[in-house]
Amino acid sequence: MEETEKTKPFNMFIPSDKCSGCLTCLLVCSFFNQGVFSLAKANLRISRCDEGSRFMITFLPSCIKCGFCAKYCPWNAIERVKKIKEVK
Amino acid sequence: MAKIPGYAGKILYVNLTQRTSEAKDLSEDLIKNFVGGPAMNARLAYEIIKPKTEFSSPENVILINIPPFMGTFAPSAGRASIAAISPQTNSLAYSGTGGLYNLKFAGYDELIITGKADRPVYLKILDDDVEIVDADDLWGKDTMETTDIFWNKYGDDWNVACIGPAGENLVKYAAINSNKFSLFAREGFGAVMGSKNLKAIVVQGTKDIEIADRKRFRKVCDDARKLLMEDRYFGGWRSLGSLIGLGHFERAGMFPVKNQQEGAYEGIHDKIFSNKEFVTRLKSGDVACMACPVGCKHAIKIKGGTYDGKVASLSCLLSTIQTFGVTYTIKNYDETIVCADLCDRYGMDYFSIVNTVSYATELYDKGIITKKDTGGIAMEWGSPELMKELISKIALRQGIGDLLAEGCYWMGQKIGGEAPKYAVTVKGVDTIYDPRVPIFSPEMLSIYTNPKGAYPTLQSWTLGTKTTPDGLKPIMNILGVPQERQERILAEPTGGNEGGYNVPRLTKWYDEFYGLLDATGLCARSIFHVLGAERIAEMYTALTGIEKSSLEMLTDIERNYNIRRAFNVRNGFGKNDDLGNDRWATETVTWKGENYGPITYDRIGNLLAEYYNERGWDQEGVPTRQKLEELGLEDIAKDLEDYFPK
Repeated sequence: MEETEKTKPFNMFIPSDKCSGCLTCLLVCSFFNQGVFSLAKANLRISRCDEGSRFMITFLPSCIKCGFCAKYCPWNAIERVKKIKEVK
Repeated sequence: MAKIPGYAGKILYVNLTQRTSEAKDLSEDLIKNFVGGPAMNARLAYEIIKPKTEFSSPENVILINIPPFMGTFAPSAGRASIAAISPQTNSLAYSGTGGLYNLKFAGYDELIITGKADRPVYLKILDDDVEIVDADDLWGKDTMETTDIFWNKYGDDWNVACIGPAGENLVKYAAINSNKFSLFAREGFGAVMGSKNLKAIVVQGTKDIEIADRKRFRKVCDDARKLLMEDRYFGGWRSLGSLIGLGHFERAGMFPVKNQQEGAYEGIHDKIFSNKEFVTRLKSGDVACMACPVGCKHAIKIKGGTYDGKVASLSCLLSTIQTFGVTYTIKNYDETIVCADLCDRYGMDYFSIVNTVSYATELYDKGIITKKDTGGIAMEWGSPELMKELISKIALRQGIGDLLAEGCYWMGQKIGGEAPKYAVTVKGVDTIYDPRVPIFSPEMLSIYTNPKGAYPTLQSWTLGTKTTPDGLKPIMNILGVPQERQERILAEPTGGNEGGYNVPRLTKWYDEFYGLLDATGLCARSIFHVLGAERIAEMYTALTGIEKSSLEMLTDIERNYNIRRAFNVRNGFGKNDDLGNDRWATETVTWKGENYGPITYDRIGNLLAEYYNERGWDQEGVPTRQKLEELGLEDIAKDLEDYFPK
């Protein structure tokens, strides 16, 4: 985990068809969570639709909801919503 | 050698004749003196490719480099580089594309393909597993079909770089299509793949890219991204992609018409090809290269009209309009898109096909070729139906298509007589701008001087814009021009309409900055120039741990330019090949009722003399022994011994 920021648990949310396929989210994920750049080690995937012209984001079960992908996505194709504390 | 962060550390050599492959370490010399991209390719090509190798010879070599920033989140670092002997120049050419990043994750900075397969094949790379696979069933398929077949077979996260029928048939301006939206477009690399019976390269990789100083790299990349996303042109680039330049280019007289017989017609950006129509009726989404916050490529879905519902994946709308719409005068948005899409599917460069058809149309108008030569076709301007017919004939080399597939220069040579003097080419490559009309800037001079032929290097702030000395200083600072060179550039302005500075001396530094973007993997689109040489050097140091100043990095690129020039010298190129062509040197062109040009051979010769001087070359444009030795290129100085003054 990147040493400069603490993990913050978020709910991840994909609001609409804004993804441009730039893969910044995968690079950010591997950078902050693994300390390297790796598409294979990222906790999300981008796949193609509409004859390869549009893109879909899928989170893997390994996602720890750190929210960096949303923070860095230049298209706001991923949003993060801070989890509300449960009140007993 | 310990692996240097930012680099995968290996070169993958593939021999198609023997169907073998071997991975070797990337040397420290290549990393520390050539960075990556075209610079690293040039150094390797100089050693591997013999002088005067023909483009279609098995001895021609395809070199693909994945530069150091690729595969990281450095903003806009998505540009791979290719080099080989071009069918247009018969010398070393290069091109860039947004794709093939998986090569880096598979563990390779460089892919070198030699030999020729005895039947159609594709190259499949999955980390250390490298396979040459028979591809008879793919031969003849277009680029989009081919890409879909691979994505269905292996997964749509694989990188696919493939050729269409044009590459298979050795059309001299055949392109390589990468993941549908990007192209190694210019100079015929598709024909080189075709000549090797190589249909496609498909790649997946699961390896890591290390970072030397994560904290520093994150900070410098975050700052760079912020700078870009707060730039005043960012919104325009995001919305319009390259079309952001359409109005400016039109106003500056950048667009040539009908084989550069005329300047641009009226109403291009505001009436016929309006941005509003593009955004509301044609564009269906933004598409970005790796790590790019801009996303200048476009998913197209035409709404309404004859082509209602048609989907197209286009890399550059400005090129689409400039070529089919302006040069060939198809004054209909949808038809230009349909022509471009057809070209992409067959796998050809828009500029060269349109320039070649335009050249042939002029020859037909002049009676130099007739219906006897065209197979009964009446050549005409602005006909989408004829253009579509010719695209198909060229790709398949049918009828007149066989001659047109040679491109302007070689077609002119084949026809002979008066024809060659109307071929608007430099070093055998057709040109995208007519330098007679716009303000004569470094962009225009580099069309003459670029070692790869008629193509401007950096297209930046001075493109079509008159720039004052005060306006130029911050630009030179961003480009990393040393203070003492800045003073000389400002103290010795060249005459004519260039503005108050020395165009040829500044051109050298434009070349170098452009080369720096290429070598690191950053996109060369104008919005990214604000990143500047100093920041790029800091990004490089943070990523790799190699301390380099911006001037040291620009010197690495200077090394690249000298190698490319030496390569050309070795292949018989000299000053005469930098002088342009008869049309520019002897004819005027009319735009908006005013005459422009010519740019005489004498005038361009004077500008070349200053450019060569700034580069430390002799007056024939040969790198001097002193310059080559100063750059540590003693082996090349030895090779050029015969060309030095006795």
